Amino acid sequence: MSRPGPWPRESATPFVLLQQELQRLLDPYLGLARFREADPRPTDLDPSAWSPPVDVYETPEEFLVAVEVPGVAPDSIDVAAVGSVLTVKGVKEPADLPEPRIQVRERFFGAFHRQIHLPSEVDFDRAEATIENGVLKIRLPKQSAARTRTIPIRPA
Amino acid sequence: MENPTIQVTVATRRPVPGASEAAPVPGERTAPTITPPIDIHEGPDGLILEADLPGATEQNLRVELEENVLSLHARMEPPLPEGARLLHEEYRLGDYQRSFILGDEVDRDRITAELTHGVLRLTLPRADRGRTRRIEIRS
Repeated sequence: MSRPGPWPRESATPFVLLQQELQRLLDPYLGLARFREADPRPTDLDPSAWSPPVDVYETPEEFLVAVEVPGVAPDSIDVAAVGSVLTVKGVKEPADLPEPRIQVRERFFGAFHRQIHLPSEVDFDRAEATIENGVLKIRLPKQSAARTRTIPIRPA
Repeated sequence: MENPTIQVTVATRRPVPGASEAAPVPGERTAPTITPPIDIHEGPDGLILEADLPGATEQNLRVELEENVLSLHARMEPPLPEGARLLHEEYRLGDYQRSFILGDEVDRDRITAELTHGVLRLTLPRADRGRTRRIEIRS
């Protein structure tokens, strides 16, 4: 029986990779980092003008999800897990500046709603999230399969 | 003229394709350079420049003014332990770098910088041109 991959988004991956590759090729010509933020991610469930980029890392002990959220108020960010899906929601609001006669405008704002599918061996009960300098980091320890469990033997 | 527009020229520095990452000096870091997105607002008192610099800290961010060029640079370290395997990548890690050419109307002595939640805010006050400057007349 073929098992589904640990990352169910894999079906979309070729397109994401293709898009990344195109961006990489075009970036030197367009120059500005705005290009990579100009469009919501194809997987954003709340496709406003802005969508935070997400990186996922794995170490032997845990998964680490890093989300770049500069300018997003930490208390507007909502991290939740349902089943094996991690959900990150929030809003990037522009600063309340008087007289917004804008000369240069490259940053984007708006709501985002990202879902990240995780392998089932994540122990969500021990998950931790921190926001530091505009980067949200979510540590997701793996379930310790090696944990010793004593199985009691009932007297006959 | 009241409130003349303050000029800040954003040095776009479009790299020549292939040149930016070419010829790394041996032994030197070869972190890619990221041009952070910025907004510039003009208000009655001057300019406010905001730059998205996720991960930048007061320790690794440098804001410098040399002649009339204001530049920001943040040297970023990978946030991860060695041996971590990248499963899914959407953003690139690299050093932030950007520079701006200030017009004469910016009061260089009163520029302030503030870093909050990964956003740098530079306040560039308008020089007080109405201030009377006494010019000594030598006899």
